Amino acid sequence: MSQVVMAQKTITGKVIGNSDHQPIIGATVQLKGESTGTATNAQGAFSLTIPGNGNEILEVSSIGFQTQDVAVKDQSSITITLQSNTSTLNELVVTGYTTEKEKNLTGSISSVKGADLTTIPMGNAEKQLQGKVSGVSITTSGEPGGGSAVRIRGFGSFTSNNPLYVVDGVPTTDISNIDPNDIATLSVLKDASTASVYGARAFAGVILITTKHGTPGKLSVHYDVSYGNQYPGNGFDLMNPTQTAQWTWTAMKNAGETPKHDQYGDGAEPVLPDYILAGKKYGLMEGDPATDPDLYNIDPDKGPIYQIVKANKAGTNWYKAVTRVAPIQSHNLGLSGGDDHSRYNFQLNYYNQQGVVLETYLKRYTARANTEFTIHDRVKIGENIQVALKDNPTIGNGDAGGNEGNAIGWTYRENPLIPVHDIMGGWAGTAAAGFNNPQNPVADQDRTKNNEGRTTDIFGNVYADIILPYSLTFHSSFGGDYSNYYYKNFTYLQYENKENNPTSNYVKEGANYASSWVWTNTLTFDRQLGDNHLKVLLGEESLGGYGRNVDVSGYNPFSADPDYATISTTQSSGRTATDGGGPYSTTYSLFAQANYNYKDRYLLSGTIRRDGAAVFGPDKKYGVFPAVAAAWRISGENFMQEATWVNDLKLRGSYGEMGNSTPVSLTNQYNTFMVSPEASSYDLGGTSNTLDEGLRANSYGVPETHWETNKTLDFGVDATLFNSSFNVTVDWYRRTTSGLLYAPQVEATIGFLNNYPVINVGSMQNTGLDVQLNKHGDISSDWHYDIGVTFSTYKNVINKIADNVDYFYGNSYGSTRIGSFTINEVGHPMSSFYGYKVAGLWQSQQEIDAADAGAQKESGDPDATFQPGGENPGEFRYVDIDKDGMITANDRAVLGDPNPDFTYGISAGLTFKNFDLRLEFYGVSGGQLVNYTKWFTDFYSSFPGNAISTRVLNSWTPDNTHTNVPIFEDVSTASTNLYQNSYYMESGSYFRCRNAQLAYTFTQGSLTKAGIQNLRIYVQAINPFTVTKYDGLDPAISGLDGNMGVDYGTYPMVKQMIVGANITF
Amino acid sequence: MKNKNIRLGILAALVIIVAITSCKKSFLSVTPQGVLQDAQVATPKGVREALVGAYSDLDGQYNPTGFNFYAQPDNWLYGSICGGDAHKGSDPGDQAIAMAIATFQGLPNNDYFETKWEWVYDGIARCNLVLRLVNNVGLAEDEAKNIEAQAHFLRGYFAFEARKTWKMVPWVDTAVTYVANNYQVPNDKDIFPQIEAEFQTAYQNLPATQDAIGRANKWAAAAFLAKVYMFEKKYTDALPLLNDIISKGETSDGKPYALQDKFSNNFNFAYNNSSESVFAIQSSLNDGAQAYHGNIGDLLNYPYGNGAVTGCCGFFQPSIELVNSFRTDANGLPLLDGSYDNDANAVKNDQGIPSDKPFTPDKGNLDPRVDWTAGRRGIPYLDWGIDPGNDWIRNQASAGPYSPKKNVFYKSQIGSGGDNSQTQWAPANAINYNLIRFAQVLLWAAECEVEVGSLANAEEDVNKIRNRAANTDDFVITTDSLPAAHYLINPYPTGWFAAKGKDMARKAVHFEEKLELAMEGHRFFDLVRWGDAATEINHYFQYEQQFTTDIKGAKFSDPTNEYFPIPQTQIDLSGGTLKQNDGYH
Repeated sequence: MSQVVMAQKTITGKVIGNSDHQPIIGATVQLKGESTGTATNAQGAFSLTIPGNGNEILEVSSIGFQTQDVAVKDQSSITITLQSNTSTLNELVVTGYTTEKEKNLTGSISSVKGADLTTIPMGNAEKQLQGKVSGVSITTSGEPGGGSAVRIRGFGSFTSNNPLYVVDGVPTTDISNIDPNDIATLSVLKDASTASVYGARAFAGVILITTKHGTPGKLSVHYDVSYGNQYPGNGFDLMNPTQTAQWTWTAMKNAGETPKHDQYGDGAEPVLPDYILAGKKYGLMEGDPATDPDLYNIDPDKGPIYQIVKANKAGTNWYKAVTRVAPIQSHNLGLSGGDDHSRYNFQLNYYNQQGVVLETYLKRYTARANTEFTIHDRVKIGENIQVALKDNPTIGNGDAGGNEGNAIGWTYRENPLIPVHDIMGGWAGTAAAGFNNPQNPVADQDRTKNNEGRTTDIFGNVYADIILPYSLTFHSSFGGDYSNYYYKNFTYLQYENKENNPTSNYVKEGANYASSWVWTNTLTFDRQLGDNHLKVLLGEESLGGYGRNVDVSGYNPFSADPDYATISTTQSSGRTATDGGGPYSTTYSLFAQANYNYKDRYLLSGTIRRDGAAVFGPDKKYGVFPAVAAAWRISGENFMQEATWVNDLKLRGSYGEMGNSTPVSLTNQYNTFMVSPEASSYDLGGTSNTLDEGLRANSYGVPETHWETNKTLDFGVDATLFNSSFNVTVDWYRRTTSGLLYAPQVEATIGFLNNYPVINVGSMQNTGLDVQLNKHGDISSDWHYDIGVTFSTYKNVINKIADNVDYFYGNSYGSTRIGSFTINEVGHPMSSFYGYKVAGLWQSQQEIDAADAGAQKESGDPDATFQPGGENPGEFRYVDIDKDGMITANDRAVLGDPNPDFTYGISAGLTFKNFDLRLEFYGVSGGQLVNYTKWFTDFYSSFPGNAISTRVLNSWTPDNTHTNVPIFEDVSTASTNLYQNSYYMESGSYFRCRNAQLAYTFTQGSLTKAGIQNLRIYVQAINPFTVTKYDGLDPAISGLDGNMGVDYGTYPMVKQMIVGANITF
Repeated sequence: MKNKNIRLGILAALVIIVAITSCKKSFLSVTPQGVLQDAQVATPKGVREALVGAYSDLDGQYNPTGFNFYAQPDNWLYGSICGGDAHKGSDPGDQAIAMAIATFQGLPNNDYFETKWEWVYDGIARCNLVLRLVNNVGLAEDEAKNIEAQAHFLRGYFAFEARKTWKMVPWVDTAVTYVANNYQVPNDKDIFPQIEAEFQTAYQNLPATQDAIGRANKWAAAAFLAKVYMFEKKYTDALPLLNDIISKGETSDGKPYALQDKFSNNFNFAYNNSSESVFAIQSSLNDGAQAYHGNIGDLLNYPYGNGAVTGCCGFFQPSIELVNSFRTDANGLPLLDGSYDNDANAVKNDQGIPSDKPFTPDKGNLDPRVDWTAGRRGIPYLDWGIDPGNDWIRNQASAGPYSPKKNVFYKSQIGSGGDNSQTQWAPANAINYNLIRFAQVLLWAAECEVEVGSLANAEEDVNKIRNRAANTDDFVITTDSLPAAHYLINPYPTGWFAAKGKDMARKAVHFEEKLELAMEGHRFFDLVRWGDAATEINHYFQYEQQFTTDIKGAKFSDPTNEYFPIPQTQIDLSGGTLKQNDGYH
């Protein structure tokens, strides 16, 4: 009797995943060998009535996890942790316009779950993707909101290699407003067979993102929170004031000059002054009447500026001064649930990352509402929408190729003897003579604090699914993006600086809006007929948009009070207003895709897409992009049945074409002219203040321009081995781009154009290998581990640029002080470094004389020198590449390039009972960087009076000859600092621990009483260490395509210490 | 019920698909906004504005994004610095590629060369646009003729800039277009004949006066034609033309050409478009174009440091050798034997002396033009106060003790003639730069008289210049109204040229051009056309490097350095059509 009573036992429990300890919804819990079973609800909970004999075994299964058997014994409540099934063979992967079981993929797709992205609390999913997917390289700066260069399998184009993002079916080029917490899945389509269904926009790869949807079940409330600090690190290694003064003397002595300096005097040894500035006097000592504080004035309205600035003999560390330990926090509240008729997921996010550089931050608020309604058993409609508000002031050296004149750039230039403030709390700077022209970065940053720059962005779509007879499904989605940006900048008069100090106050204000829309309709046929499975997709898509901007500026408002200064309070005569924008190109596409498999063993797929784009001329509007793929599941063959250690083995091959139209603008097919006040109007009347309007040619039309095409060949192997504990995916590919869209500069005889027509020229090729490995297993019943490795390598080579054009430089003039370091040249990878190759330093006059003698012999000129323009011991000796006995322009060559030999990511997890530990690493091996900061800090004559690098302590002297640092001297020649050379080039390899996270998940018992279903807490270190030989702040240097890897003083990736919690109610 | 829904669904899907596909033809035609196209430009208004566009290129600002200060239509780098008038200035590494040019180490890939080339050929292309359209849009005959002649004038000017800088340059006429794909034009012929023809056409067809002072008139064309003759050494052609210009020439608003009373007025915003301005680049500020028409080519060329004109940037510092040249002897005549560089005669300067250490300026005889040409310590600097010397110099050890002056505005003119703010980092001004001023016409006439005419006439022309310079009202004065230095200048005594002979007369004329036109971008080109470049420039290097470090080891190589290298980018783009000048590689 009692036994019978015992037999009717109810067991309750909860099923969670091993990696994130989040509830698993819809997991099947079944009594082993019986038909009794149930499924978990939205909280991952279940309740099951069992015989209660103590011998029951529960079989718990869920897609994406390994099925697990659990003995009930005498427990009545149980938490079951499922190991994620890294083989995920039956999991659905989001592919172009549809989904596919992973095991039946014929192309190269890597998929990442949202939970695996958010292990690193970055505001932007692309920053989190680094190292997690093979074949994807991501270079990003540490600046909050700073962009990243995301490259899928290297480079296919000269101008634009950003992947296409498709978020819930809506294409976009920017996902910076998508909160990573909202992401459910992310798929990277890497080869043509998977991506070419996106046709013209898929040339650089496609990243598909779906956001989280609600599932049936009662309301589930999640709250994720993290908080931490970011640590700026040490900055540049620069000399202290005493060393700086001494080496200033050395530089002048080395140049044969008698040392003297506005601050250090003119004695045999330099003397640090007590004051660096008092009125117009420099280098003063204590007690000088000029330093009387009563004379002080920094208000130009009250009279001439009279600053009094004490020397900071201890030295100002400008990097420390302009950086701080900065907080970072993220809050995410999610509500989801639903029933058979409606499902909802509502997310609120607040992300606030303060930058380590003063006054930089990213503050973002997002609200997402995804809902879906089943209005009929065959009709489903839904929407996904996100509203984002963003405020993101930056220092402007993120991904745009760098820039010297910003807060980081000044820290390696501003002399350490200058304090941050003058004696009365005003700003101090280079108005004190002898320090050249850098700016006080603290002042610069502080003055930006009232600037505004706000983005409002609405992104999303509405959709309908209709299930039709004959296994047909119709899907229609209309989506888009509407954003608005407003900014206001106020530039203050900079009394403390050497330059710009008479410049007036200056207001700039502007706004733009951008709207784009896309409408997609697909019809899918999906049917299993015996051993045959056929799926056919037909679709059409159209897209377009419109955007405009207005920018105005004005000078000299009556008052510099930020509450007063607006455009309308500036002086009326100097105001300017510009605008721009207009309709976006429209695109209309038809596409079809067919997938067939026989017994899941022989798989075939074919895709074709025809795109029409408004940017092309009437005869060139359409492009057709086909792709085919085939796969063979060897493990399904009979002869493989013996090899039980092989769970799954598949060979894949694909070939396809994709297009690109990104660099082509709407005006490309037309001759256009512009009226420009700046460049085509003129004061014919001699009024000196009134312009007659004039016009100039803007561009010439090329209606013949057509689609750029890249052809990708891909062979891959997917294997799941050893009881499904080990997965490996290897892909080899070759991607050849032809008809490259490029706007080659044309000989100036046709006039200068701002926009050279984009035409089809040249070709380039990327060949590479992507490898992804995963292994997981149990060390004991309490200890589980998993480890994932990604490895990516590619080789890029430019095969042709254009007729008569074999190279072009990586930037227009002026972006470094000695010209462009990068060149794009046939036979070399994109963005190669270019210049003279340093053979070493001249060690003696005899060595120089011998070289000169050679030059004289070769040239027949008795006055010839090996190095025209000067050569002295301790200076650079270049390699005479053309062997004509002298160094000429012809001796410049490609020195290296920033493309790594390979990149790799390692992710390792270890679980012990309720603890889990995760470690993530990212590495770059090979490839070079140009440390352009050396031009300022290692050469006295570049900008005398600037800060000096401690590298110079090891500079060449007759007694210190075993060094690569040239003699420190007040000499500017080709042998010192006038040209690009390999001295600036350094190895770009690094190995970085991206993440180390330790978490603890509380088991139910006590929490349930508090209404908490699940609680996980963690501590985390982001970027705790980086191993590199690179001498700059950080080796992760990005840049624009064609001009990468030049370091102007980048905003570094910084260490972060984070604590956080994931709570489910 | 169910089937009805299905049918409705299919119907809806079909309707949607048909709706989209049926409108796609027009859907894929999107007209860009805010740009002019062919039809709008091929109109009378279009042609008039295209001509304004060609004039607009005179100031070198051919590109609407970013200051094209490398173009420098006043040739401060090529004409003045390379000719020994001045140092590049600032720190040697600041604009290192300009330093390379200043020491004749400029490589063909130097962006200064590329920018100037792009600029002059853009100017030519703008003229070609006018010339292609002018007779096809229904303009009245007179207006069409005038516009066409102005376009020829401007095309001649731009082509001449190219010819004098690079010697072997392509001649580009209206036939060359992007669409015709014939833009790879060889540089295998000297284009002086075409340049002459341009100015001849302009001279024949332009009216004497115009409705706007900034337009070229027939006399401006005549003066440029004469300048071409001077460069071709066609003195017999040049002399009668110059005499015509001197006797009959007038400005576009009808003022007979004449020297202004004061030498300094030529560099003063308040005297733009004077009777001495044969043809000028019209500069403007507060015109709705930020400061792009405010002599942007000179934006680096202002004294540097606290209390100076502005913070930027300390370039273009007059040379010690140039300032010495203004030494006069007891008779108020220049030291034509070169002895002005002797220790005894060299002008005392403050090289090596900080501003807070005492310094007494030179007491000797000086041509008063020196203090309108170079900022010297202790001398009033326009109305900016007394020049403090080193405090306004960025790197004295590198580039010497002097500041530029002719291109700098008065403090009192800030707002109208000068501007410290609109570029946001460097000054701008509305002082017209005279591409040709009447003093130069007189001196060319003097040159011709020496070569093929009368030495007495040459002397008379030179003395007109010297007499004007001697106007005591134009001496730089101190606050107590005394001359700021011991100015002594006299005309050559009557018959001096004849007595000293042709060679000495030539020397006197050439030296007068050095003094009168110093820092105005002419010196290097004059030295080259005289055949004196190697001697003078190498003398300058040898002398000057005793005092400054920037030009140590510099050398002018004859004849290679008489012209600059053709920009490598253009050679590369030309597909082998353009050939590099001899001596460069």
